[in-house]
Amino acid sequence: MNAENNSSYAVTRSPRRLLLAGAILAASSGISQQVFAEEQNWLTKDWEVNGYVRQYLGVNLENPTLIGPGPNIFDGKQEGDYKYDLSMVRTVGKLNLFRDFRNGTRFKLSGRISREVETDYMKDMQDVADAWASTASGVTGAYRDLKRDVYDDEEIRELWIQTELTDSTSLKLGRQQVVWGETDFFQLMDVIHGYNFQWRSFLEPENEELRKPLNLVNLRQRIADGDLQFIYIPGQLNENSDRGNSYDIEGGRWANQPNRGVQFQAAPFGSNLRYNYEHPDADMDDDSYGLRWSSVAGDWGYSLAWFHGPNPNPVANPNPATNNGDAYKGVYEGGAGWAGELIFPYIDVFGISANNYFPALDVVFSTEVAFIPEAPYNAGVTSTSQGNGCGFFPGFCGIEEKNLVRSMVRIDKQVDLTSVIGTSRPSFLSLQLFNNWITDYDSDEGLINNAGFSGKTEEFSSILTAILATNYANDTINPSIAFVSDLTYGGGAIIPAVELVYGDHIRVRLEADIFYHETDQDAPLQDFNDTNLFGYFSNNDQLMARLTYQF
Amino acid sequence: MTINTSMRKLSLALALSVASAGAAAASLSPGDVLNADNIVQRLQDTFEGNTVESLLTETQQRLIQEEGLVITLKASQPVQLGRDYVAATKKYSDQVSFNPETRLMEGWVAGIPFPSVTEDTENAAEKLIWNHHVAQPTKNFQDYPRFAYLFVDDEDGLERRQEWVFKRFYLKGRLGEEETEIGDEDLLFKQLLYATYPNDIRGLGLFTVRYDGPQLDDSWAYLKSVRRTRRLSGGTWMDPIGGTDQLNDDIEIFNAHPTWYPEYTLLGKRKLLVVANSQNTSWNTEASGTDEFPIIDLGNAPHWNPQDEWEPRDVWVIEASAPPEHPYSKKVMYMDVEFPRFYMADVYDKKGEFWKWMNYNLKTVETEDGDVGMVSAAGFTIDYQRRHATIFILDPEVRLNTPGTDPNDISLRQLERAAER
Repeated sequence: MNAENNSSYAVTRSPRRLLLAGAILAASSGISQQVFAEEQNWLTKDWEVNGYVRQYLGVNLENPTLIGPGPNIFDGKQEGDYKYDLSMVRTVGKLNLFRDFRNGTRFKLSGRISREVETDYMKDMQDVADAWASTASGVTGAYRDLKRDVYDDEEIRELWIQTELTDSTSLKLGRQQVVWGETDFFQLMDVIHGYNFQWRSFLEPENEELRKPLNLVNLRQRIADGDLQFIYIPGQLNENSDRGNSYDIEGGRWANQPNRGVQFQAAPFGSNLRYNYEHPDADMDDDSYGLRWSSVAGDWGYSLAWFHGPNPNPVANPNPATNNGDAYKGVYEGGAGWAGELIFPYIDVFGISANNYFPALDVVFSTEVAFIPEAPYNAGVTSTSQGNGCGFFPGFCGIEEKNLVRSMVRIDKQVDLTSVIGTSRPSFLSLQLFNNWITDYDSDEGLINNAGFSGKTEEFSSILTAILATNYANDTINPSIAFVSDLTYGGGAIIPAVELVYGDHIRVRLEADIFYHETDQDAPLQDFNDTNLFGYFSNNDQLMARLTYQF
Repeated sequence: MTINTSMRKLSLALALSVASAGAAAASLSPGDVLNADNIVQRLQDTFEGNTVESLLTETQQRLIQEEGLVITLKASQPVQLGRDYVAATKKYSDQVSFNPETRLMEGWVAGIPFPSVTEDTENAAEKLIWNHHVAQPTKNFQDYPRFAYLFVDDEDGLERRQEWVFKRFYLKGRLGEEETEIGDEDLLFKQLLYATYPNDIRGLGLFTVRYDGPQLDDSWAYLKSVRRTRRLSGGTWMDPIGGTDQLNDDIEIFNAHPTWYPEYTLLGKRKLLVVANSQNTSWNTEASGTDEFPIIDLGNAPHWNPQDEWEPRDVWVIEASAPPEHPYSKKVMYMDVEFPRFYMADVYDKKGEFWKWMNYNLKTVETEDGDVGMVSAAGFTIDYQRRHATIFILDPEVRLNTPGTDPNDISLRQLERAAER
């Protein structure tokens, strides 16, 4: 069994960090000798220090479904009414150290610590998770402690050194974030890193805070007006859990409706679903790498890219012993009695992006297309309880590999609303259409969008997003509204927000996250139905306040 | 209160003053000040042979009387222009012409294209604007490691500040080099601008390409919060810069291609008190509070007035009529007669009401190659309708013509690199 567990996580972390730190120290020692000869205080001068302390408060605007096992297991009742209860009390501190050695070498260290208060709502989710886990023989509690293991966090966000190898070649080595592509909200070429969607889902406006940094080699070669970038991610120098997207499968506040309080790693009756990072075709120790060429042709900015690495989203690899499904590539390595394991099969992504400004329309046009041959999908629309299913959960017939084309077109426009709503300057409007197309689609395969739900994947699907950002009073009051609409599966989200600026140090963000959907599931582990993306957010409307002191 | 109302009051006060005190005009000396308490009495006094009244625009007079502006007089002093700048002007200006049909300049290579404009010159105003567009006395590379935008409220004083890095690299009209052009022949300059403070905008950056032609700029933003570049609209040249009181078009008073404004009128030539050789410290990085920026009267309401020494200079008065979609109706701008740089501008809204006053405190500095160039030690954009100001402050550690820079150092890739900090 190769799934992650607490002890191995703690043990493997330190040596890799030490290795990285050693590499950086070794690289920087060259600088020190050179500069030290010239200046006595070279070590302490010119450091740029900044960061923030941030307090989040989240409040439920609906009563989230939280149902534990009942006397007869599946007859549990809603635990309580959590509407207007605190859903998140989170304190975050971030410290950045940066130095430009002015000889082409730069260094950055960034650390972040997060701590949460255990709200009554969180306690109840934990209690329900403990109760569900205890339905399995010999299990006395949940797999994760929500506060300690999921929400509290301390992390090196950046630790890199950058140097110029030649006049046109730069090397950036260490823990960092590299973002490709153009698309907002969705991952087309932005697949080098995964995101942590556990504590804030996709809602944090600064997605650098959600992106999971990696230890990698970032080599860039300037060629005329263009830039050739090579990325190499040594698998063994990165934590397994830093790869791919992390969704809330721990039954926390952003678990898919109705699974708050259900931890899939310690699922009812031991039908567990844990991560396996060492599946032969999804082995996080394997290296990842990619190439990107970006340049300008006439008025067009464009990029061409290829990346080989883990699929951003995990798929469920069914346990053939407990499902009538096939293991991915014939290999299943999870527990004998489990429902399956979550894996991130390696894929190749080929992408192109382009942008231009059209003065006649005064719009910026952007587009991005990514082709993913053999993109993994779970199959099996129904569960055994619905008839003809392969397992207890939908999607456990196996993993099908399909050729997927993802595309995006977007227009950005400055809209002058100064005389309409009194803004102090023209407002930013962005409209984006995101599409998926499975080129070798076969309806009979019964592809689904997410294991555990019966939402069947369509050949074509599209999501429309819109953002309007406005400014008042010299940009000290900045209201915005984001709108997301799933044109294929229904549902969407409306996110009104306002950012307030007080002097140099205080920033306040107030935000409402309002979701709507076509279909949702009422209770966990039963009555599976055609639930899709925005059904997962059912009953999770939130109000969020964020106070930041920055320095 | 409109400027006309102000001027009527000022004239009345002047008449009363003259009637009561007699016409005993004095000759003022360097170091004398003009302030609200004495401006009425001193309008007929002279400085370097000119009456004070003739040395002040109507806006300046009003600001002294009503807005707390204090002008300290300084003996006029020649402005030194760069040797390569002067040499290129002499070498190439004869071959430049202006095409009234296209409103474009033809034959320019380097230096001031039209150095001999007089009030009688045909298309004089347009030629002066072209001088400004291609021949800033800054030499080939403006390399500002740090400048600040200060946001000032007339009651609360300094509200907040932003700190930025600015690099503008000219690909044409290059001075002191064998070739006057480098890199892409279609481009006039490439520019990087990125924020370093405060933390929420640190890493926000802009890369801009200005064409040697009337087409709009190409520009990209780097958004550190999402770690990605994004193409921007080229049509933002007449929009405010972020939360400032400046339009993109207001940088150094005029930042548009000459053809983007439909019409220019030369209103005349006069001698005015301007800050041509700034004497005060713009930014004292060792100090804090109101002492940090000695060039601004931050301690006294309305907290945005320049504190510097003003000397008489001959200036062109040019009126630029804004296009219909522009927020302004017109800018009346004051350009030095010897070199194409603006000191001040009066800005009017679409109703013709006075809206903003811009004032730039100029300073000559040594370039990195031993020549000289000109920078703005401070730039004041004051919105008198909204009672708010944005003040540009240049770190005295400014560099011009830093060696070892080539066009590819000013690029989207370099923006990303610079912003990742």
